[in-house]
Amino acid sequence: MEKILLILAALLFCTPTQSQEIDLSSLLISKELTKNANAVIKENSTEVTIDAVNLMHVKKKRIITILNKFGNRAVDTYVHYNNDTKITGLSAKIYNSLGVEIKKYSKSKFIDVSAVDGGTLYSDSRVKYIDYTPTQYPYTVVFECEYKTSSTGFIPSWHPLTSFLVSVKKSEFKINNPKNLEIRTKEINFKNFPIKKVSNESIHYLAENIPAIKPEKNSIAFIDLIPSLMISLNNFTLKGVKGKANNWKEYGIWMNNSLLKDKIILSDATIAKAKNLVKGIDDNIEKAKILYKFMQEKTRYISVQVGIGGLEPIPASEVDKLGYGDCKGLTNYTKALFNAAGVTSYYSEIYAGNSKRNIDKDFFSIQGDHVILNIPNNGKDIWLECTNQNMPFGFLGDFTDDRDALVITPEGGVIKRTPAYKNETNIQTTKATISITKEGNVSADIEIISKGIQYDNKFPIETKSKDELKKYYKSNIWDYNNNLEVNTIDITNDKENIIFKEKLAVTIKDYATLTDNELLFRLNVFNKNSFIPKRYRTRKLPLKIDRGYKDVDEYTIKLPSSYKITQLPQKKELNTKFGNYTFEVKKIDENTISYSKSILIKEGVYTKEDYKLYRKFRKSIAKQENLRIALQKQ
Amino acid sequence: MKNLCILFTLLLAFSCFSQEIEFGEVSKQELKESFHPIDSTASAAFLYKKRRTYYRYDQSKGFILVTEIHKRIKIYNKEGFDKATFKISTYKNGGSKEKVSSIKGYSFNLEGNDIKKTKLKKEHRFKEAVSDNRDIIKIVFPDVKEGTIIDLKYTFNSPFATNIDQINFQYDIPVNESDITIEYPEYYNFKKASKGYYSIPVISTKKRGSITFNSKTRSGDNSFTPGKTSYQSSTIDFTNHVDKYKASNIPALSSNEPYVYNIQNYRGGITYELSSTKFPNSRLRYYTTSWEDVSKKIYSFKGFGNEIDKTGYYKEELNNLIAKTTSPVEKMGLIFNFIKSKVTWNGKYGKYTQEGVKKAYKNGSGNVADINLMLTSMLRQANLTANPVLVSSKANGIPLYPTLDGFNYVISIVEFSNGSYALLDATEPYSIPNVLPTRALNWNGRKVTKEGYSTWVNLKSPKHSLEENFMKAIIDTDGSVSGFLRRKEKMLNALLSRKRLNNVNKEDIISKLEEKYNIEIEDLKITNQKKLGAPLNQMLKFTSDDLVEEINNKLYVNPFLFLTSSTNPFKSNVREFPVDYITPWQEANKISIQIPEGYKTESIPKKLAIGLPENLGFFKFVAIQQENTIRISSILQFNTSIIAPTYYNALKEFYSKIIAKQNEKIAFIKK
Repeated sequence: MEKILLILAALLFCTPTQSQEIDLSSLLISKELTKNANAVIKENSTEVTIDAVNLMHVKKKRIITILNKFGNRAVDTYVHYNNDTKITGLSAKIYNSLGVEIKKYSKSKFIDVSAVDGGTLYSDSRVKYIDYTPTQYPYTVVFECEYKTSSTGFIPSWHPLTSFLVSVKKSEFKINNPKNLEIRTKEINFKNFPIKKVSNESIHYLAENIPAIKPEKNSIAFIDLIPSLMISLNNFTLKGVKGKANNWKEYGIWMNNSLLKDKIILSDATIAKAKNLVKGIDDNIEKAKILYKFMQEKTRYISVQVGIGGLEPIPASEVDKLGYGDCKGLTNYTKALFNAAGVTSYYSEIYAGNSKRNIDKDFFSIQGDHVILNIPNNGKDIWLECTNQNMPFGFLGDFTDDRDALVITPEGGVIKRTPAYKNETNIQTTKATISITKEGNVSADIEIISKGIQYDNKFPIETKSKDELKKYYKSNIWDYNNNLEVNTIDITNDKENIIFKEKLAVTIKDYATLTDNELLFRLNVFNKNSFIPKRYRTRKLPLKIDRGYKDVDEYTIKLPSSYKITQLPQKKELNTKFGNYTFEVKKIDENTISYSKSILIKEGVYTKEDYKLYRKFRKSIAKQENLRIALQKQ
Repeated sequence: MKNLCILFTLLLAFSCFSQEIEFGEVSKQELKESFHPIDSTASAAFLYKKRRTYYRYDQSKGFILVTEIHKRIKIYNKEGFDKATFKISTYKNGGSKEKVSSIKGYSFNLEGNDIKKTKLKKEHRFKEAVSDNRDIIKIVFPDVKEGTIIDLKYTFNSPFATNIDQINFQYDIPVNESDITIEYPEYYNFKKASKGYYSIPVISTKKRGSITFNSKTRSGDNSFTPGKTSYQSSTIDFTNHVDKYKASNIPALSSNEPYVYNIQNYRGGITYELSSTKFPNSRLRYYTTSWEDVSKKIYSFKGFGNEIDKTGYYKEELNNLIAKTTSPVEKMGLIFNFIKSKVTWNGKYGKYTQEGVKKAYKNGSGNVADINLMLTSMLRQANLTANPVLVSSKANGIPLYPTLDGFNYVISIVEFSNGSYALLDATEPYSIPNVLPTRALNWNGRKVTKEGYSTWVNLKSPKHSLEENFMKAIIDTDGSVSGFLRRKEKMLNALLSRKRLNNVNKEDIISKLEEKYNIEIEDLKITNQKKLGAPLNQMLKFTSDDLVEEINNKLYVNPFLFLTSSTNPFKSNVREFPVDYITPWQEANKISIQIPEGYKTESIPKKLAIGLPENLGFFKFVAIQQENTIRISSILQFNTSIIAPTYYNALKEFYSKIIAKQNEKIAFIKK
């Protein structure tokens, strides 16, 4: 009896929503959803049906209301396809703010172009989209699309929140698994969001009324803020290749056997060449250094993605012949060279980019967007970036540092962490001897030494010509010093020790300000750090300092003898959880002072309340960095 | 004497070419070269660049335009690797299709003392179907390292015989030897227009050409005797015009200087535009010859004049719109605003309609021509003297000779009986009469009347684009500053600011301003955001702890407070291209600073008045004390939108003085 009542009640509650079509007008959207929103996703449903290990149907429907011109980029009426993905249904309809249809696109009205982005030379993927010019705001787009694919390796993951400044009224995700194939899911970041499991038996989720998130500077990445559902099949197909894995170990074995093993073969001539290059050398690391350099000089990065090429490298012998490849091809080629010389190394998948993102160590699915090479070295692993022709051996820079990577060994996949370049490791020391003339002009000899990530930021200038370098110093590094001229430049890139050295001689006309009886000038001539984080009246998101660093400036400043020092600023020391700052000016003799400063910024994630304190810290530093002193005319 | 010099240079230029360059052969010396001998900044260079364009007669297709290309590129360092990738775009339209054939290539490397030659193969080529009528052939050379030389040859066949691709002399890397030949039969008459800041003198000669026609005729084909096929061949002789452009050591085109709107505009080159054809046994057919002809021709094209003549689709709405007024100015305003709200620009340029005015009107969106031809039509229908004005957009550059492609944009002009006129561009929601958006503010416009008469029109507004700041500030004894700023913007400045600020919420605007000026803003008011005829006003209350310096018990402050410009935008010592401000402009500041309690003025920056040559611009600065207030006023004005490179040094020096003056401090000492 009770059961029946419940069902009845459910039916009663259901009736009104079912009889009513989804509201396509833009007028009645709650304040909660329009706040900070340029667009509102009214409904976004994805239904995936896995018919077989090699057949999957995906049905999508998205109703989105665009509130203003900034919301246009959220409209997302794109669908990608390629040889093993067939679009079976596609349409888009545009409605005005009253919910009246104003335009309709059938499948044939979609524009079809190749989906080759800037970084790729060739790819067989294509995209269909509509080119609609909005004539009024708000407007609503109903986009429906259905496709089937034989690749079940990438089941679309679910992100109810799709981007900053877009709110969600309803987002639904459902997987039909009629054959009961083994499937795994992982919920990430669900707890702070209104997400319901619709059914306990199947994979079926519903998220409702999620307000838009406004981006804030110096905070964590969007992907780490939002809820995501990851999905993976234990038995899958990728462009015709069958796979089986339910953890990283198994995936590694499959990857190695199916996609890597037969790609590593080199011609006898190349093997002989590699052997010859390292002849007489016993140390594996020394061998690797020589072969890495050989690879860097021989190849260049060109991305061509055909067929399963999104996942598998082109054969090493091809790269050897062509002299180019993408990250997979170049890494695999380097590994093949190492193999020839008896150096063990492993192909490793990773997420690349300045913002650190891990391969999820607890959940296997096909992840990562980049490949690097790992050399096991008695617990002190060495990692190689193979797509950059100038990178020092064993240096990753901020592209792939400090994150979990999947290392593929013949025994299976293993998650390992790449080296971190923390705080003090990223040091820049600036030493200068500065003379100020009585006319207020400066001439100086400067030496700058950079290490760690600061090396990473600097070393690309190595390839600049003298003229370009002069411009770089005048317009980029010291643009705050008007009338600066660079006289001599001497830069040294010590790749062995990963140290970048710059030695310069410069002059700055009219650096100091002269008044009737004073000469005023800014003490920090060459490394003014006056960054102040943006002010937020109410900070919503945590503070994140992506990378820590340290700068040390030490100057000896010779003053014109016709002026005397009357007063010097006091020593300053700031110690916070975000880092430290010290500043000191000392009189050496009547006409010489020394200036020393050190700033340490510590990476980390801090609370949103800490943001204000951090801003205060940087503000005090900025003030100190702009400090001028006045000399009296004798 | 001058002529003699030119002759001498020409002779020299000739002697450089005495040596023929063979495809597929390079020297060790070239391979050993580690940097470009003239331009050490070059990451790669064209050692040789040859182009020969000529006409081939195909009996079934008629004249086909054939272009043979030979490029030899030296790669000096890794930055130059992208020069080993080529993209050739081909166009197809209906049955006509451009084709690339005979692709051949080698890459050369020095290995030890031997030259290693690697052949370009089919696997190094990809064809990408970009869209229905465009393909791209991509060629990636194998075996490319620092020092590599690559040689590439191909033939480009185009059935679009009247369309000779623009010829570029200059690239982003230097060209050591350039050898360009354009040959065309006497039946074609081309208008040649040189462009950019680099030119090569043409050497024109003539040579003979002939076409052989083969024809067959069947005779006597009746029921009694079998027919006989006879073959005939006839030959037509004609003259080929041969234009040669040869030069050595062409500098690279590059600039990362400020105020360069579109570097492509300065690229040296030449365009060929068909002006007439005269084939045997046909009459002379004119394409273009003068701006007058160009304008007339554009007017007569489908998608232009006939689109203006269509009136039925809006008639009723127009009648209602202007029913209550007889004033021409009012009518214009009503129609201009009506179109702006009725039809949204789809972001596409064009002098011809894309959708057609009717469809654009119905759908509410269209390209530039859809919108502004519709506008012209409605204005005419309302009995105003309205005409379309052809424009070459900023990105399209400035053509030196009349060509159809010289125009790619259209706006509208209304002329009034008192001699005044209004230029209108309804694609830009914040544009007002005579204030056009940046994209249309280029060179001159060409007004075309119904009858096909055309004349030049100056597009630049006679008034300066204006920013006026009025600021009042009080300095507290603790060094904090508070006050208010009222900013008034007019003309193009107002247009650009409305574009930037309208529809952005106030919080975000405040936040941006706070970041830009390092101040804290208490309150911001923006007025006339939608009232386009009036100046755009921003009023804000601010406070800041960072504007006053205290050194040895004295207080120092910049006279412009947070409006101080502290760096000279012009850093380079030489400049090749003009400084493009888009419009004449003026920035005026009136600032008053109240002296902090207990302090008196020690020094105030002295007044300054400086100017640029030829009345290009001036700067005036005055600071005076009146009781307990310092009053500062300044004007920076440029009377022209474009400043030629010859004045660059003067401009840089001018700015350096302005910056120095703005950064001269007011000093206060304790009473």
